[in-house]
Amino acid sequence: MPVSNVISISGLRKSFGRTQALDGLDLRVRRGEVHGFLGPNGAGKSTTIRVLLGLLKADGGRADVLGYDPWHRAAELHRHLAYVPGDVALWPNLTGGEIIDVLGRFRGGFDPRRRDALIERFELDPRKKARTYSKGNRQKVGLIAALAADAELLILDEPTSGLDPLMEAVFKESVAEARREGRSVLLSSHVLSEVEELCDRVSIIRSGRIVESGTLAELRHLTATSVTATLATVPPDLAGLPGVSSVEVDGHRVRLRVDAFDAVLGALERAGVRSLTVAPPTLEELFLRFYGAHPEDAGAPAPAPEGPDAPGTPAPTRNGR
Amino acid sequence: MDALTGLGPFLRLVLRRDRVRLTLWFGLAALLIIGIAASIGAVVPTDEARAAYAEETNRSPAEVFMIGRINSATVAGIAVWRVQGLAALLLGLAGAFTVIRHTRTAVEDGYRELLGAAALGRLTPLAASVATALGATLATTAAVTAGYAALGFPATGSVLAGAQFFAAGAFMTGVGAVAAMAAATSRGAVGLAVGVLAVLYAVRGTADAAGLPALHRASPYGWLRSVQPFAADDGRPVLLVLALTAALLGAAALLGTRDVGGGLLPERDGRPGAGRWPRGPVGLAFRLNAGTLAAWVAAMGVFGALVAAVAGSAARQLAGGGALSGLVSGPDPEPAFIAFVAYVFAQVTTVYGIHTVVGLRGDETGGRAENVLAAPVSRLRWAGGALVVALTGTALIQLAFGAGLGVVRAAATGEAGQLAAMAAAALVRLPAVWLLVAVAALLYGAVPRIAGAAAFTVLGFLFLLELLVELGFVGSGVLALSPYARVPQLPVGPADPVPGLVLTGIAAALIAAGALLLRRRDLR
Repeated sequence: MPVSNVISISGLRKSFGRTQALDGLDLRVRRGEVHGFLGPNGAGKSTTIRVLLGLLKADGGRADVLGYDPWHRAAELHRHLAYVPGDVALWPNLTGGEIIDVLGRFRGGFDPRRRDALIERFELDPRKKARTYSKGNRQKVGLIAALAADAELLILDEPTSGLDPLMEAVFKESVAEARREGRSVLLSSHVLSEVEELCDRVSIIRSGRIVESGTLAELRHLTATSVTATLATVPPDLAGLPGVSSVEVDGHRVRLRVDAFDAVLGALERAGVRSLTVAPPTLEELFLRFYGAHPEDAGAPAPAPEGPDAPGTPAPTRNGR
Repeated sequence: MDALTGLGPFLRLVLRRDRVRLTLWFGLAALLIIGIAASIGAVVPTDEARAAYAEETNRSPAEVFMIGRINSATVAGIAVWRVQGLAALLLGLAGAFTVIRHTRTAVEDGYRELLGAAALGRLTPLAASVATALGATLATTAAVTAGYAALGFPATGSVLAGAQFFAAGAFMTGVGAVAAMAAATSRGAVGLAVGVLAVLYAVRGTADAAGLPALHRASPYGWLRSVQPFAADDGRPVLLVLALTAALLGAAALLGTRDVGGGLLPERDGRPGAGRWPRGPVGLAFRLNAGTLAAWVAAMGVFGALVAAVAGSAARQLAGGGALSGLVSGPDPEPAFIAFVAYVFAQVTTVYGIHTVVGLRGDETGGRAENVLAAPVSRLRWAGGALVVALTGTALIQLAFGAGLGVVRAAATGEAGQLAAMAAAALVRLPAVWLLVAVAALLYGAVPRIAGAAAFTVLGFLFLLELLVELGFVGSGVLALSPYARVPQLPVGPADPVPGLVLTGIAAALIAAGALLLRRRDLR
């Protein structure tokens, strides 16, 4: 395994009774990156994470986290990682502050200033008994305990569920900071803005296997661009052009979904372009396509290219990554 | 909105969720009560045998303390006497737990809010769960009355026996309702309800064994004692208990109009950070268990003192000693009584140990275990924390029981040596308690989903074993199956260390096997 990967999974399988939860999953997370882990509910995200933590034993395949086999050397591995589940469960009769400290001690202690700074940043009242905390406050306790830890790898499973937008912003800041400190993050999330802002690369899981992996720009590359044009004359054969997947005509206005531009641009030019808008796929479109029932139908190519962002991506993304 | 909106649909939900639970618990209670009645005729077949049995029983402080006196030396009279304690316990706990489960526990699980958003009145869950508990209790006790009548028992007595059992169950349903509304957590509510049952039942036992009729007024179980089905046939105490139940339900309804999720007492703020401890998984397990353990230690210390106090007066009052279920027999009734009560209470202490071990499953499925297991703590160290608490906790509880016994005995007799003797009588049973804790640990490693139910079933079977032996269903040799009967029955007889060492060795092996299995399985 190359040292640059903090998580390296290949061919991972896990079934619960007759349900195949993971069906030959491959996943690689590089050192120092924030890796988005996306997929519809029930796709196998949490199962994957529980295998990575050594809570579940895989039926087949290999998992390597920071050079450890998570099943056989869970405790040693956990010295170097921190984890926040999507639904942080706490002991109802302890206070938030106590829980943060106890979990910190299990890791051999942490910098109290860092803990206090995080408590202040997340605006948590550490004196309240855990049973009085709302969902968002319980998530804060989990996040503070994880972020205060001196961990190389953060595994976050939908960590911001229940947080208000203000705290969501604090969370994003904290993850960006962790990344600057050289930590690696596996972030499972349904919050698209979070993914777009934070993630260097994403992997999309569906039915227990990775259907796509790469930078957001690369993934956008795989999805049709939408082209709207007002033409002098509407040519009759637009739908038959190579690279065009759907055509709507409304008088002189046409809306096309385009995978390859070569033939289309020529045809439009010949038809006399009065106005032209080319929009990259939105994140929503992108994910709906991969989450949908038949991503293969859309012609998704097999494994995405690995490597730095491909130059010349078709259109600028909203945040210009 | 009307306080009882949605009663029908909620009632159906309760019945749907609890159909197996209710059928099992109440059905088994009815079967047990009727089955024992059917067997009495064979156990004591003649009038002379029955008269002798009643005579002997009423002279045994242990029997009088645990169950009460036999009022009628007929088959029917002995039958109703034999099960009256069991019926009060089974029906009372079933009623209280049913109410708590659908009110306080539902709030904790969060589904109460889900339903609250639907059209549901403030008092609907309370009313529906109370109706379910009372309905099931009524069905059970009606079946008992029908069963008694079918066995040829007198009609009036059969009806009153059923009414007496119903009143005992209904009373605890009321207590459960108040506890559910007053306590902030379901654990607290269960603890409160069980505590009330234990104290009031012990008051009845004390009054009976020590011959203090005035004390009977302090406990509804004492009131019900004078119903005396098949003897005095007095129905008035039943009405009195039902009136008290109605008052309790009214109080619960008043409390129930508070905010959803709020307890009677507001939650106080705690410390902003951890103190010097807990430092590791064992410390955390102790920290989480401290309140429960302290309550157990205090309660068992008090029970020990109570038993010792009763033993003294009972021995003076009652001449001669009855055989104690073939378990303990000695010329002196007082140590024999203490030995028998210590035998029973060792099994009560075991409840704490099993509860603590199988609580791991709740932490596992509830997601709290993840907090610890995602830290550099192996799963064996995590589970070991609860096991250490269970083993040392049961030792502390037994020690408190022995100390309670010993202090009162030493004060009464003036012999300081009684303290050590009573502590020994409690602690000598610890290996049996640990064996059951180890069984729970093994079950948790092997079959986590049913570990709690299975472990408590084993304990319940051992608890009933003594009853089955007494009724002649099984020979007294079968009692040897029970680790609680295997250990020396101090303060009667010699202190043989071998059985304890053997049981401890078996317990260690079972724990090791459980650990091995836990390491190999998935955690939820």
